[in-house]
Amino acid sequence: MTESRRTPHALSRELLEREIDEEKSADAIAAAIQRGFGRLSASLSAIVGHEGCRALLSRAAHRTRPELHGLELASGSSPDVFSNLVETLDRDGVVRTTAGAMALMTNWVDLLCTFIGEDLTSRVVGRVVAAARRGSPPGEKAEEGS
Amino acid sequence: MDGRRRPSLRTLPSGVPGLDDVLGGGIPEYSFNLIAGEPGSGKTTLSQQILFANATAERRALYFTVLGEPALKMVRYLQQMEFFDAEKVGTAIELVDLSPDVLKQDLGVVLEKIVSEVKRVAPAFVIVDSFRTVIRAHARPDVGEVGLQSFLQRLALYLTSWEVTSFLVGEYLEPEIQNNPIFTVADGILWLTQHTQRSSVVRKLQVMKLRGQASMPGLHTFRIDAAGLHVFPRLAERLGSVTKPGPESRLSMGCAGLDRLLHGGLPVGDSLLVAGPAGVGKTTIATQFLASAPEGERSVLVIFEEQPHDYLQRAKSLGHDLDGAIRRGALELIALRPLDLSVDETLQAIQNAVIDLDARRLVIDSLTGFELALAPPFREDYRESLYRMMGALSGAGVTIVLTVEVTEAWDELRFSPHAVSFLTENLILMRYAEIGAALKKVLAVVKMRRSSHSPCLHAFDITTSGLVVGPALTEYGGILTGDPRRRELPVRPVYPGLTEQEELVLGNLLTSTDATPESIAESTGLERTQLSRALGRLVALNYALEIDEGGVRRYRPVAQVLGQR
Repeated sequence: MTESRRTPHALSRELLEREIDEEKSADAIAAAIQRGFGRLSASLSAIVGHEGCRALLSRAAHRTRPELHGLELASGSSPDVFSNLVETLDRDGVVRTTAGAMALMTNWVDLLCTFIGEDLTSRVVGRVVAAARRGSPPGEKAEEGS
Repeated sequence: MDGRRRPSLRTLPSGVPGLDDVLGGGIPEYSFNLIAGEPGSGKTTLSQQILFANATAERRALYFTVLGEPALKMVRYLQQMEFFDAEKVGTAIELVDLSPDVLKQDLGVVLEKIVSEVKRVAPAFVIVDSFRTVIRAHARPDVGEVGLQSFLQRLALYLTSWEVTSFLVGEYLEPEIQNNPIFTVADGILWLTQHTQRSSVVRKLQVMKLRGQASMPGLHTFRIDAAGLHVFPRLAERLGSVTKPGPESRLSMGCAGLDRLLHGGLPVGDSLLVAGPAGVGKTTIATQFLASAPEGERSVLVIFEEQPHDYLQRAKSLGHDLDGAIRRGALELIALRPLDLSVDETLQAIQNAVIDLDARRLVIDSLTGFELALAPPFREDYRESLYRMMGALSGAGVTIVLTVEVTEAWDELRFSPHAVSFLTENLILMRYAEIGAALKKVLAVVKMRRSSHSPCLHAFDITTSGLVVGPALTEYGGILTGDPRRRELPVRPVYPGLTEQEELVLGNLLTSTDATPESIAESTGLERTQLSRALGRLVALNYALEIDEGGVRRYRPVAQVLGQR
């Protein structure tokens, strides 16, 4: 199946799963989740702007609140997406926390589809997944766009 | 020529239909341009359309957004445009939010940010939307006009030297042109306006300035729809001129009677205005003209009032299969009904059809509908626009028939409501007239610039086989007043059995008071024997009496005797 035929939700799930993959420690898993969200955030900022990206993520977090179990977004100026990810992992465990992060990612992608359309969302997430597969560090726009 | 080679000024296609013609070829490469106008006039759409048409993975574009429409919303709405290409977003076209740098209220910071992004991406195109916001954020006394001009010059110089074609987008008002340094620094200024009049919105574009190439002057109408902007250049594109054939080359009007009145048909390459009140038969003439096109000759029909189906059905009822002609590709029907068309837009639609089809015949039915379909502001320029259109089309050898509705006015002779009759070489006037307590239709060829024509008014009928021209109405006068009167012609009496000489003598008897043979001979000039024979016959046939009055012979007509003279 080509990237363009996969739904943005499937692609975003792959993004997080790929980042987390075989990480074992809470710190490593936290870093992987931050990295996954960071990749998409960086790529989206070049399209809808940093503020637009944060606004959608904030709305997605509100929609996902029951599943996040206290997981909080970091402030706009922070390089991280979450402010208390390690603590949440320690408290709720890997399964519950990653499920919350996955639900947040799904809602974020949902909102993106609503606002910028499924086609563009698929392309953006697809480019981010491709960059992750290559192991490019998050935020390398030129590499993602290539 | 001084022999030195001038550096060539390469132009880029704008991607906006019609705009390259207005610009004089396209957007000059590496130019520093301003797209200005009031909010909602289409500035952002224009800049984005240019961007999507030009940006590629190799020639990337940077789109700086500044505190105006958030990028999220912009992308959302942008996707509704047909020129939007999702594949280019984030790859060929990168959006950069300049707002945080603008909020620092330091033009140096703004310039630094733009420069750093240009260095990072090395784009071929840069757009700053809205640049007005950048300037407003720095409207401080310590910056001043000189500081602003310096910033603009550095920005323009930097972008140009990095081989960037740039567009600054901003809301400006015309009075600002005098004092705002951006108008001095910019290489090109595209000014967009929109005016609302009654229920219509009219958008216009003007190239106020364009360094290095000759742009088309004036205001050009443009439309924005799902495909983006479409500009309709004010000056009609010449269709290529041909030498008009002599007046001996004629096209049949598809009606033998009408061809006779035109002394052989309509001269090729001429235009004909058919004027008359509603329902008199103007469309029938137009339909027959189209239907008479020989095999292989193509035509364009432009209608405004009627639905195409109704129009074609009506033609069919006259025995003309225009529908079939359309299917065969011999006829293109353009139906225009909206009430906010611009003249230039209409003109271009017609011209394009004529060019695409290589049409030789064009019918516009009717000018009245054409005028109504125009947005009110365009109605003021109606005649001028019509003049340009006629010139462009007839210059290309297209033979044109136009119809126009004229309100009947019995006290004056009107050829068209807006004095458009001078535009055509030929004019046919159709009217209703009351003749013999019946409403009859009459027509006349009023003028033919290149040919003689029938000077008479003719009655005509619309039959199932079309228009049938009747005899000249020479026995009537005052037809154009709508109240014709039969002329009182001298009636020559008929006297059965009389020769010409005998009729002459009888006529003399009827008018004479003293009809002696001598007086009759004198007034008729007949010899005595001829007169004697004639008088004898008149008496014998009981037309006259011979009376002896005291030895003097006199002759009296019978009618006079009976007191019926």
